[in-house]
Amino acid sequence: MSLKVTIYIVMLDKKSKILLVFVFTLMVLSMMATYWDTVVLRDFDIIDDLEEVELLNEDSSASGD
Amino acid sequence: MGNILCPWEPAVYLLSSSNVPELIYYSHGTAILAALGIGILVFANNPKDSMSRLFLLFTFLFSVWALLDVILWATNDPAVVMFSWSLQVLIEPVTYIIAFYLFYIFLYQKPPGLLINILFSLLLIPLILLLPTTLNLEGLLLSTCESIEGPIAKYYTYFINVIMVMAIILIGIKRIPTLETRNHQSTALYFELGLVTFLLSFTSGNIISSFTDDWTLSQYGLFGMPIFAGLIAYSIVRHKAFNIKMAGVQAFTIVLWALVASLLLVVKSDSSRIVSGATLVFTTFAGYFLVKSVKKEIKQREQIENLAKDLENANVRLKELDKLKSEFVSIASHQLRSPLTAIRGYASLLIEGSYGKLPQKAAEALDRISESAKNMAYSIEDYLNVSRIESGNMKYNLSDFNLKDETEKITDDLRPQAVRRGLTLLFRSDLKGGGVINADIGKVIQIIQNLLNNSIKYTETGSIKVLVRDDVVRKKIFVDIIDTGIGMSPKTLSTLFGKFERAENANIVNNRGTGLGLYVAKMMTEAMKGTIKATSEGDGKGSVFTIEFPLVT
Repeated sequence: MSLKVTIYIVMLDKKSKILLVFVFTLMVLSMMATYWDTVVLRDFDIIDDLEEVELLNEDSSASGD
Repeated sequence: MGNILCPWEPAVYLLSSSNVPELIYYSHGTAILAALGIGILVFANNPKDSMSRLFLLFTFLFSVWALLDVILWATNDPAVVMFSWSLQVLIEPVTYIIAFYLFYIFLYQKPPGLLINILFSLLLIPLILLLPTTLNLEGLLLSTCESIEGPIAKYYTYFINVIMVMAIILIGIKRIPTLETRNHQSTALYFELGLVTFLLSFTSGNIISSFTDDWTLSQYGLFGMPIFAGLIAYSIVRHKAFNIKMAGVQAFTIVLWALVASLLLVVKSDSSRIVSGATLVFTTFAGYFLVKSVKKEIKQREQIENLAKDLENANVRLKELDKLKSEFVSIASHQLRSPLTAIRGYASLLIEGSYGKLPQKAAEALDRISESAKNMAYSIEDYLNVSRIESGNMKYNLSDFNLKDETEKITDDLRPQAVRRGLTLLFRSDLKGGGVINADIGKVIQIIQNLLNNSIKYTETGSIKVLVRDDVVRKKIFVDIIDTGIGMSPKTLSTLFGKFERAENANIVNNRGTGLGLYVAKMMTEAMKGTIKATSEGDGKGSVFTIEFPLVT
């Protein structure tokens, strides 16, 4: 029993380190994927609301007059 | 076909654009400079310490976040916005988790266990995995060039942030009261307060902006950064017992410099730039000299502290030596007293004829032996008394007794000695009250005997009067010993009660005194709340010794 506990404590730090490396690697991969998706492929939706905004601006300036 | 861009000029070097409000440069610039400056300062103080390293990482990540924020304001490229926004979504909770680790190590002096590490990893993994998906950012609104946030960016990030802030508060509540010293407790509280306030001000701005879509608000959260980072740095450095003042001044200088430097980025007119530039130069020089002078002051203070420590050690050693000296005198005196008692006893027996009648010359020699032994015994008694007084071992058995009666007895005892020298020894009492005092009777007898013996010794002709009087109003009793002896000059009077002090003309009459009798008498009288003083009209004009004690009411 005590041997098991000792092993667990000894392993504890190592396990945390492995976990840290794992999470860090995931993070880097995720960032790379995001970069690939957004900057390289530009794969995201763009909602072109410029006309809508212009209309809104005109409306507000007209009502202001 | 060209890429769709937001409706303003492209940013220069990703950061500079007319689209960015001046306040953004000011708030972000100050925060980045201050955070990095303080992070590097703490790290430079102790590069091997895990706290210092983690704090540097914390300030670095925060600075990256703030830099990305400026890029988001400046760029007109939707791709850059989407990527920078995603990075921010990731960096923000990671910064909060590091803040938790920082506080945990500060409190427990060790990193959290595996369970907490797994828990935090599980909390972070969904965010990491879903970062490139539309669950994080759904798309981009072209008119404002802002990302449309999905549930990950809008809720999950803030969920982690809030969890971390709560965890920091909870471990503070649990751990701080159990810390050993009060100083450690207050430093930890200081640290927690700085950290939580900063994290809350940081996240609340972002949360409000996320839900109101008004991103100008989030910049205000950054204003607290330099102050709170300074507080945290101060706590870290203080806890590690570095030069607190030094770190404080350095942090203050960096924050001040950062504020002025970022101001330079904001102002547009040339005259304002000149003023800001001049202020920056002045701040740099003033900061440099401030740090230098504080460094010098700290060095001097350390030197003084070292000297004080040396002095304290020397004082302790001196006290030890003094105690050893007193012990030595005490032991030596005891060793001398025992054989002396034998000499005096046998001499007395021989003089009394217990061993048969002695020839006249032998009897005279024995008389001298007996007299010398007696004088030596008195001297030894004086040394022993001084030793006891100085080592604090003199014991006083206080009791109520009649001073007049005791003084009269002493006078009667010493009268034959005075008569042998051809002197008259008179006793008179002018008491109006009972004359009872509370003192050590043995010591009081010793003092009066000493004074009376002195008067007999130093009076060649004439008389010695012992007068006991009282002052009922002031509740005091006095014993005056008035003689017609050799008297004393004012110079002698001023030093008479000092250790090893003898009257200038004392050797004419008696050259055997140790100069300790009056010192011992004074010390013992004062220890029993009395006083002793001597007056004389001058050499050859007699002396008056007066002892004063408080009366028992």
